[in-house]
Amino acid sequence: MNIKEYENGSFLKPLASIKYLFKKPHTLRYPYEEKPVPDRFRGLHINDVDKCIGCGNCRDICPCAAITMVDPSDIHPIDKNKVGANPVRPKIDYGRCSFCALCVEMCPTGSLKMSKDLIYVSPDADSFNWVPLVEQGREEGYTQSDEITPLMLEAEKMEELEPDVRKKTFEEIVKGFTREQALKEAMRCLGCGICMQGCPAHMKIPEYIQAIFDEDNKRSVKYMLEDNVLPGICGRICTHRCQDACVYNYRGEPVLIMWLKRYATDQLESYKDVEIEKMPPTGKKVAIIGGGPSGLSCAYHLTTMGHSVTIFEKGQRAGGALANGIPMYRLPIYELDKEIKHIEDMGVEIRLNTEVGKDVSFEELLENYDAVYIGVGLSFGRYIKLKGEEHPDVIQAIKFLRQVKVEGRREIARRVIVIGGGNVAMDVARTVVRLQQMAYGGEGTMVQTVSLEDWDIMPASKEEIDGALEEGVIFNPGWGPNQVLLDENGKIRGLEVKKVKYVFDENHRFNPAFYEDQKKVLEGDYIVEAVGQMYDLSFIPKELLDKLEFTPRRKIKVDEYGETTIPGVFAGGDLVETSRGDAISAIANGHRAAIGIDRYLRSKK
Amino acid sequence: MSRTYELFIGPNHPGIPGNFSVKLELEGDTVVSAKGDPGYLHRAFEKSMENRYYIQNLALIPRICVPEPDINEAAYAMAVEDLMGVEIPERAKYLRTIVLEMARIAAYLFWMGGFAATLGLYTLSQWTVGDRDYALDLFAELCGVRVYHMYIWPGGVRRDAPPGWEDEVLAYVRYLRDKLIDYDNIFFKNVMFKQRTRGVAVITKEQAIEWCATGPILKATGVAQDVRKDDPYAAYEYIDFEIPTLTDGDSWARAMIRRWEFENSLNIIEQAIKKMPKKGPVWTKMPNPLKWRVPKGEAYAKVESARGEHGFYMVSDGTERPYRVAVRGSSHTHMFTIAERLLVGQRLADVSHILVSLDICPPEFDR
Amino acid sequence: MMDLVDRIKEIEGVKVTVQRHNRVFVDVDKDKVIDTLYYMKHVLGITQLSFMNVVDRIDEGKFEIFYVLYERESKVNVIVRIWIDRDNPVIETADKIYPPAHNWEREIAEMFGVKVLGNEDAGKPFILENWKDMPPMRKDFDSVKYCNEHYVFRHSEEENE
Repeated sequence: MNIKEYENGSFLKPLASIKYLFKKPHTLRYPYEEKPVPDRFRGLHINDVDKCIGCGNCRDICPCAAITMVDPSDIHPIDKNKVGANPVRPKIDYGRCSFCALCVEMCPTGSLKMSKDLIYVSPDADSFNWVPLVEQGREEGYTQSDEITPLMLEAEKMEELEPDVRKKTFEEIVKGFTREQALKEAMRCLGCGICMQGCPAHMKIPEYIQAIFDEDNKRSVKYMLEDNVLPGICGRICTHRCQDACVYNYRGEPVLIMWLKRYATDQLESYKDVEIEKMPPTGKKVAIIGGGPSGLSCAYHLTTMGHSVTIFEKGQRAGGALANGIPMYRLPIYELDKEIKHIEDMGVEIRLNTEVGKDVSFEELLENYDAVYIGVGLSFGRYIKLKGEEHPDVIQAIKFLRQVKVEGRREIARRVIVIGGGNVAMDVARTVVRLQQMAYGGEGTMVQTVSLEDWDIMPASKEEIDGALEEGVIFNPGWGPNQVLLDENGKIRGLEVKKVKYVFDENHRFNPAFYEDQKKVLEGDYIVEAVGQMYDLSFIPKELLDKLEFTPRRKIKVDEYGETTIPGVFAGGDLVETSRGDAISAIANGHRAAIGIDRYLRSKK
Repeated sequence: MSRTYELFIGPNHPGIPGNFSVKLELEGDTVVSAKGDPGYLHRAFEKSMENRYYIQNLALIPRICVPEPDINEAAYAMAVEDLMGVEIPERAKYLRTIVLEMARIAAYLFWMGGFAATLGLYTLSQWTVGDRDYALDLFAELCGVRVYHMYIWPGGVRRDAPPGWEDEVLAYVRYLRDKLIDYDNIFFKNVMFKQRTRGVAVITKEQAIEWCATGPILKATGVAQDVRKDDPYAAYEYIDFEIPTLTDGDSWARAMIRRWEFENSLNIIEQAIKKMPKKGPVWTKMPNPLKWRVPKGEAYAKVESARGEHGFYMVSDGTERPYRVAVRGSSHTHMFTIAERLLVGQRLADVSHILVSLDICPPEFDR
Repeated sequence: MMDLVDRIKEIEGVKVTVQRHNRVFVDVDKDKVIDTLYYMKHVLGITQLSFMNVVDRIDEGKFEIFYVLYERESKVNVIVRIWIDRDNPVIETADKIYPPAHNWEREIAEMFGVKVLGNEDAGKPFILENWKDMPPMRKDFDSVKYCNEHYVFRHSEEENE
């Protein structure tokens, strides 16, 4: 710019504007002409309420408090019983909304969007407040992006031992989070609490994750212990349904809740310093049969309610399947000891090596205690009724795992066949891998599993299957065992299997069928059957057992507080319908039974 | 008997640049004293920011300055990045530069319209405000809204430019260059403009420095001070531009500086688009907004607005919410320190255009 | 830049922290602030006061007052900070040194209740009108509570907690 040109004003130059008389105007003749609206326009909202899960993140992030969560049933019916969703949907007050679109950025499902429409006219100020729906017919504008999103979609990577290292040892595979990893992972949590619906125990997950983020592990463990007496164990072996419910699943990886739980409990050497509320003693006595997770859970919560509790455990140590079944590489024994120590410190008496029905009778318990809880679990392996099953080299998984974990068994055959496709079968197969590495250095050894279920419906969890594959376990999915083959010396030489036609019939019931003409032989010297467990209630006298009612699926029938049809007798753990065969549901129904027993005792007077 | 009388200009007065008022004491039509009366627009933003998450403040900060909201977003983001020690991606720097210069253009177009209107020349107002709308359309295409963009956020920008947007911006720049000839003809080279503004409300260089003026007011007195050069932010360090200065220090010089800066901004946009990496990330990942803790500390981030130095002083106590955000708007100094002194002795008819020549933006002191 | 920092360090009783981006924080005793500012302007030639405001350090029972200065030659922002007693917040005016301080002091007097000696305008209503509560920018002023007490909300439905 040359400033000299401007220093002397001109009279004539402004006349240049006259040419605009003949130019086309810039204005649009609304409504005959419409202005094109850009694709990213941030207008009134659109919400796909069927996709929305009512997590409330939009409400939490709204800078203007424009969003409230309401039940939209009167304008759009929603599935109120959907697990992993709250039966509410955002309602937006457009008198407050600033159209910043942070709610859209924060929406974990991607149901909330903004439209290209910004025009709404009404003389009624209250009508500027509505639940956005798709049916309102607005054109989609601003949506979230996967590249630029304030949500932290990627989870921290957990360090694990390499397959070549871990298969030589029973050392714990998962290393656990470092402080930085844990803080970063805890930071990802949005605190919406949808995960609590997935957890059978309804643990206070957002609260304890927040406490981890605040680096207050004691407070974190305190929240955990309110619903789950074995948090350190669940931090290792839980089926983590909470993570399956996590809202991050819609767009990314779930928050690793389980590892966070493990991190917090690992930071405390013992739970002595965790503040736990304990009610005054009531003088009531409760007997608990079985020291498994449900029995421990029931006992602990009853103790905090002021009752005095005795656990009768037939084995050498409490913990049930946790102590006897789950291999060391998943759950080190000192972890279990730490948590059981805490339960004992709280005042629970645990009588080891005391089998009800043998060392003490069931009637005695009924007589001497105000209530009895049965939590004996499924402690016997199921048989397939296979030809040749009675051979000494065929063993049940639960027995095998106990021999290895508790009795210190180290000898193993070179070629092992595991029947089953569940997590127990994986435990067995991976344990065998380790034993073979120790005994033979892995030379000339083989582990193979055979399961009715094909890959797509295999019941074992994905992590377990992947872990087993990495360690060299061979899978034969879709084959059913036919008979055990013996050689001339009476030793096992293999297992004959036949091809599976289907596992579930048209009614979705377990009813496998086979192609009888398609058979093959799996070679092996040793067979482990991991096809399920069963319970043994023979300690209950006949006349009482007759009074006990069962469900069609042969589980003990209990009410919502775990009380059986015999008054004063409660049951839980894997014996009842609410169990899903994992520790956390046993812990959950043990807790529920504790509440039931407390109610029963307090009403009895 | 007193020969003076009081006159309120504003808050509802066509000659006042926004929602505030100036209390004048006049003798005849000569100003004896002038006092600014703020408070009509106070929305307690600084207090509100202390109660919100870092990311939620995104909705508040652009509203601190209506004609040029992006400077607030940039300064806020820079303060947070400063505290967190975050470096933003290259492409984001350029996008910020383009957006900030676009906002400057929009602000100057608005200002030209306002300034011409206070001199009674409404044609230019119609033109510039109309042309500003094209800039707003480009903003809407980039980030979804016309005025309060909420586009620059800590870590970079919120979205990459949509395909073809850069070409549209270049086309707009070319369009404005053509229009600028007409602006010159009708206004900046107009003898009326010269007659009304030359020698009016002169600020000497010494006065400007004493009164701590910044931006065009200071440049009009001959001091080349510009945050974009002195403490480069965004991509300004890679861009070649001059700081315009004049020595007159009067209303005319301030207007000419702004016209000059306007032309400069067009150049900067063209350069930035040319130099911008064609692809690449535009955002550095930031923590989950609900658990976004900024390390303890204090930071002062400043940018060059259309009016002068615009700064954010941010104090963090290590929690999810800022402990204190203090906003330095250049209009605070320009109004209460400079205008109140400058108006004394002026004619009533000139008061409006002097205020606009200082570019007083009330939201900056009524935060 | 280091030249200027070295010269600031020579001032008696200051604590200098050099932060990134040409930012120098100078902590001064509250009684010495006017002398320091005078020295900075007239000896060191730091002519521009960009900003001045208050941070309420309620946990320490103090107000932190900061003066953001700018030195044109070395392009350095010098930020002078003083801590004053929160219960008896008194400062001396700096408007004789930096004229814009006059009006920033009016603002902080109103928003934080800081008494400014030598500034006759500080304490008079500036931005607020008919304000009867405690100075609103103080940390212990609960703005949500104030709003709930003084304004009627449009509750369209019962869902607002």
